[in-house]
Amino acid sequence: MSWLSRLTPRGPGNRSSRTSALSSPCTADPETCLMVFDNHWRQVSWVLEQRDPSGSSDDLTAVRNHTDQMLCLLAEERPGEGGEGADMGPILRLVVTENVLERVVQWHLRRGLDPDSQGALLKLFEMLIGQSHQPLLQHKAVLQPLLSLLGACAEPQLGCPLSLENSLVLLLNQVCVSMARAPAVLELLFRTGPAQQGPTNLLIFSLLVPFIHRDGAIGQQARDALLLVMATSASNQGVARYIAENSYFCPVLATGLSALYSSLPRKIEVRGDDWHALRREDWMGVASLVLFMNSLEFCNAVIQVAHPLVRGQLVDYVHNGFLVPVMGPALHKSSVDEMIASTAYLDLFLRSVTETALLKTFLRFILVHRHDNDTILDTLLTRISSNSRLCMVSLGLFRTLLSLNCEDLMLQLVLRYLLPCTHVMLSQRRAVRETDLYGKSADKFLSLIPECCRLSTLPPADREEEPAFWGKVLNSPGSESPAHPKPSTPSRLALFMRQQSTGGNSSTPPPMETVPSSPRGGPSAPLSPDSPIHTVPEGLDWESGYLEYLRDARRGIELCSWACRNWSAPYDGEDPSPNTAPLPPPAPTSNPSLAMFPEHFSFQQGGGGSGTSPGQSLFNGTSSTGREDGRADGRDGGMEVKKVKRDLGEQWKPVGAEQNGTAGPGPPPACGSLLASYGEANRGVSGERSGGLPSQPVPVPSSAPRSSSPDMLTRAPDPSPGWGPPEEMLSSPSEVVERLISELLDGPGQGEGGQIVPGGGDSNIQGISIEAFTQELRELEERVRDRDRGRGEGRAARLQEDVTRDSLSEEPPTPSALDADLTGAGGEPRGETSAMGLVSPARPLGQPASQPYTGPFMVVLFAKLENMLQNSLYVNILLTGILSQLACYPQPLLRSFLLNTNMVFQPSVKSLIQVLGSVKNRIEAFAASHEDFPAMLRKAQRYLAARSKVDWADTSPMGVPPLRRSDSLVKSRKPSLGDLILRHTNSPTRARHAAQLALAHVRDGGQSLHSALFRGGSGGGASGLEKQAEALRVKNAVYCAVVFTEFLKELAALAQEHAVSMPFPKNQDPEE
Amino acid sequence: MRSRASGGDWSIHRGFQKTHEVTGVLQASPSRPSFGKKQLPTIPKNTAPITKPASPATTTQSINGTHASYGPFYLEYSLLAEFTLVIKQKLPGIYVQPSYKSALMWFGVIFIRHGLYQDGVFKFTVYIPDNYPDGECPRVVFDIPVFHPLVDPVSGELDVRRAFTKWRRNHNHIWQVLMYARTVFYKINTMEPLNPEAAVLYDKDVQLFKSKVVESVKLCNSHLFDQPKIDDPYAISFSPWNPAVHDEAKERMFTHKRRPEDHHKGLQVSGLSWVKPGSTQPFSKDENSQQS
Repeated sequence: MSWLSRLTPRGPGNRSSRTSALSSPCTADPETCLMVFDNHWRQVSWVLEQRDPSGSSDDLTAVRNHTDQMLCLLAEERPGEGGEGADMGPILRLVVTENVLERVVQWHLRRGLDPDSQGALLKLFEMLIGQSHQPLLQHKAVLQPLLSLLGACAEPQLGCPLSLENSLVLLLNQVCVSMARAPAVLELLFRTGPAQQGPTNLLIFSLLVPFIHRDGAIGQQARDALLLVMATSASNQGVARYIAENSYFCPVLATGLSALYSSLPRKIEVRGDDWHALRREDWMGVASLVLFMNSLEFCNAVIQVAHPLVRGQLVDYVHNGFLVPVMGPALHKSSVDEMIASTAYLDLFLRSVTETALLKTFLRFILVHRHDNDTILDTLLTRISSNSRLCMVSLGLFRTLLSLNCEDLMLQLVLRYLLPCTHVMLSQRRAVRETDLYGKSADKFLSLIPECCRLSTLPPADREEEPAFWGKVLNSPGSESPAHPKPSTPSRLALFMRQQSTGGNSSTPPPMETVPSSPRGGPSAPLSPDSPIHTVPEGLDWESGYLEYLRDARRGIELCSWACRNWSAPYDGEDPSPNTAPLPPPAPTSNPSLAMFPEHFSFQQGGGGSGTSPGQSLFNGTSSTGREDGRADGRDGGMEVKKVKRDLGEQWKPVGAEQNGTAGPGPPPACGSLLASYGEANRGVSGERSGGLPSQPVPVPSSAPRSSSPDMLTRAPDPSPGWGPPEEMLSSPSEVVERLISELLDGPGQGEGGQIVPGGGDSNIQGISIEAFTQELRELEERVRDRDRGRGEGRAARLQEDVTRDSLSEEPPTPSALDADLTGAGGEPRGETSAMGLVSPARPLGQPASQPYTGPFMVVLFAKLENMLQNSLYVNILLTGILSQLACYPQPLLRSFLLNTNMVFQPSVKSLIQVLGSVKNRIEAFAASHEDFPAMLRKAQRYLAARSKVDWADTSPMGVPPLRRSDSLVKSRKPSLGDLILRHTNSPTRARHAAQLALAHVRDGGQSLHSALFRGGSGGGASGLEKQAEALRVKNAVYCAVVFTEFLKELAALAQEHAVSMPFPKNQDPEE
Repeated sequence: MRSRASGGDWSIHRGFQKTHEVTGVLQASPSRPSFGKKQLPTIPKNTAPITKPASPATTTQSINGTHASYGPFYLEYSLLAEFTLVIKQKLPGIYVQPSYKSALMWFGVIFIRHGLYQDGVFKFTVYIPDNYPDGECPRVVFDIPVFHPLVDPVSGELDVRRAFTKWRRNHNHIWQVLMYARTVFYKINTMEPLNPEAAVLYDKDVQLFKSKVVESVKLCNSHLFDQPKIDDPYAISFSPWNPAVHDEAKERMFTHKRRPEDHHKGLQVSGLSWVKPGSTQPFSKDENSQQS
């Protein structure tokens, strides 16, 4: 079978062999070709005219051979001269007049199509359509037999054998490519369907649909083809209606997501304590996730190009067929692992979806859909207060949500609580719109930088170096004393801030004397954009981030107000009117969704009290979450907690050292023991909880060591090089489809699929990892755990008590025991806040009964923030990142709530500045009790700076989402820090390089910090363990001090930049 | 505009800030290839201005709770904020631009469109006290002393203090001073004049006053194309209309749309909102009116 042998080597992407194989007939002159063709045709038609269609196999072979020759000639034929393409070449004309193809196909069908001939025909048509130099499908004589053949493939009794699926999809793909080139074909295809097909008259379509969710090249080709149909039919009402009403396209696509979702790993096993979100590197090697993401990407693309009818239907199906029945329950699974996984998935999906309509569906699901009486948003909110990886993942999700700048979301999350303006004193309402004109708020924020963090590594000489005044006196006419040096401001700062991007001035840089300097003589800092901070010596590096913060703040505010320019209202305290604003849901008393997540709730309670409960110092301090509930009158929480307390007292496990294991760049979270305790705590609570989650089966205390079970998503398999990353494609919405289509059109016979390697990596492959980064610490932790295991419970309890006592002596006195916490006074000593001089005036008598409430989001964020000293580094990075994201929003209600430090709130409303003040006091108390604090702080700073440099060094040109490039340590405080390590895995060299770099820095920075902290850790015995626990506590506190300081700078910068930002006009058209 | 802005690049898209029509030009003037890129002069290290508000010096103050004194850093931003307010006010016929050398000095020009001073184009400079906002009110000095009861015939200074006897932070803003500077040309006040001659003439012989004003306006306008009085890259300067230079610039001014500086496509900043105006319910907008 000569034609087969010629055709088979040509796979997708094998064009060169094809052209060479066919070059010979091409050279022949058209007349000769026609003669040859005619000759073949005569012989074929002789066979075809035989009465008996079930003729010998000789007949079949003959027909095949001749057909092959003929179609090659047809494919090679050039269209006739005369332009317009209307002129058929002589062969094509013959094919049309004699109805050659139809007769051949009918002959095959009559004699019964065996898979062999079916495959041969499919390939033949594919070759013909893919390679023809003239448009063929316009001709009924070509289209009709093609549809007959496809019709046969769609017939239930014949169908399409598995082995021919590739050929079928490839052919369909070719047809769609031709159709996209000549949209008229779509109409023809639609009309000329074989009569017997009935309503499924868009045959190519119904044939393709089953392949939507296939993996590998075939699935990709099918999706590409369908996308072409979608794009071509976008303006064709009839076809769109057919797709929506007569095809299963939308339901298959949407419910397919459900099926694919159900095969995703239930547990995400990523080592690295900073992990909080799925990056592409994380999931590229996980076949099931790749499959899902491919389909989601396809949904997104379809919604982008399809007819509104199809779009609307698909969106509905995604909501009702995937989000509600699958995603909803998944998010409410009882085990922490599953919660983490589903939250991370949801976050990934939200980050990947680019089409507004699809995003809207997701957001509507999150904001409006109620699962067990609670909106998804409520559920997600409660998890921020959890004390594990779940918190980080949830924070990551909220970061994603906030970055959407969606009015509906912000309304539900924050604004509706602020709208009535009941949180401010009546007299202050006007101040809502004020900005920080004179830097008062900024100054306030900066003044909260703890004294102990104002270390300067600058040699004192540098500090005094500057001239105290302007070098140049500005002459003002009629000025009283022109000789008086006029201190002025560094206007260049302003110019730099505003105008760095503008073109033009050739004026020479002003001479030195005009360079303004601070009359008060602060230390200098590099100003030029060309002198990134990382070039200055290390010490300065840390000190001089403020300008960076200002620049970031400006950018953040600008982007945010740009994004919010089409919001329905300014939210300035007047519009929407506070008087007509519907009352937001009240504070948690009546809102079960606000109940803290059981495990974590009880956990924090366990640690929240003082003295009564063992181990408190590890989760300790004031349990702010407890206080939240406390504000809700204690209600049944009290019982709950007492029970937990008892439980904890009885079956306390020595999870101490690991409890905050998520902290720091060091040890990975000790999920095992943590979970075990969760489980127990949960057991104690679940029966009595009212509202919130239904009492669930207790999560299995999976104290087993991590094993690479296939069900787990393990990170770091090496991505295949030729992989076209879906996320990347998704990330550039409008170009994706265009690019795709143009690629499809450019490469006939090839499709996209040719390059796409099935994503099914082996999830066990250990890719390039720079886990070595934390290896040493992990070993350390391992040792701790071993020791732990061998220890009796009583001993552990004793240890906890010891630590407790330690912490009590160090921390500012926490006046209340657990019970006091719950009775609502708040564990926070009032004196702490008043020390800051920020006391709200005493509450006038006769306040309305319903207390102003700023909403669960703010409450939980503030609670978490207040607990900063105990949070792990990464939680703090995420947390402060979210708060500064919020502070970028230009809406006066939100801005004044967060950034106006002069605002007087109602006494029951805690302000950001109050929370920060209490953190400051705690840090200072901590520092005072640790004489080596300055040294530790410096080391922590150096460590973080080193990490950020690794980040900075990675100038990856690849499709990595535009993470904030960090020029300085400044950025290391930001969420991107968490991504830092993960990011390198897509480039082995870079990863290795980064790992080395990082490790080097860690050795001299962070590691030595750790070794300093862990000194004596190898001593073994109780004292060793004690020190480990204490070391973790210290480490968290030291990192907290670093992050806190940076956060204050960031807030100050935001306050200042808000005052100088210009709003964008509404409804300015978004596209150029 | 009868008076044409020019003097190179700056006078048009930067030095010449028409707040009325082109709000926001200042912030996001498109870079203009034809004029070459303006590079900010590099600032020598260690002589840079205050970017270190948390310096020990200020620290002690803030910690002790004395926030009365502001570092120049805050001063800088306060002035920027004032300037932002000016832009937001969209004062008719008034343009200002802070000087290159000091944020405490602003260059301005005012166009009088009707009244006695019709057709007047007066350049002026605003001097802001360095202890702003706790000092006295800013001073406004016209480049050429306009014949006006409230303008000092020698120094050209406008009597601003009478309107702002005590400068109150948070209540008084520089845009109010500019607004006042405009108002004096439409509503003539002769009380306690700085130019008694003008005051007397206005009260006693309006015709003569008018002719003096016309003369003064002529004089001012005849010096329009002079070099700026103060040598500063951002000083406002005028030049005759040159289509080759100004047509394009004008076009840009009118078509300019401000966007975030590093706004690029693909960034999810579409500003999602499905809230119906007037409602505070999520997804209250009808389906058809949703953004596509």
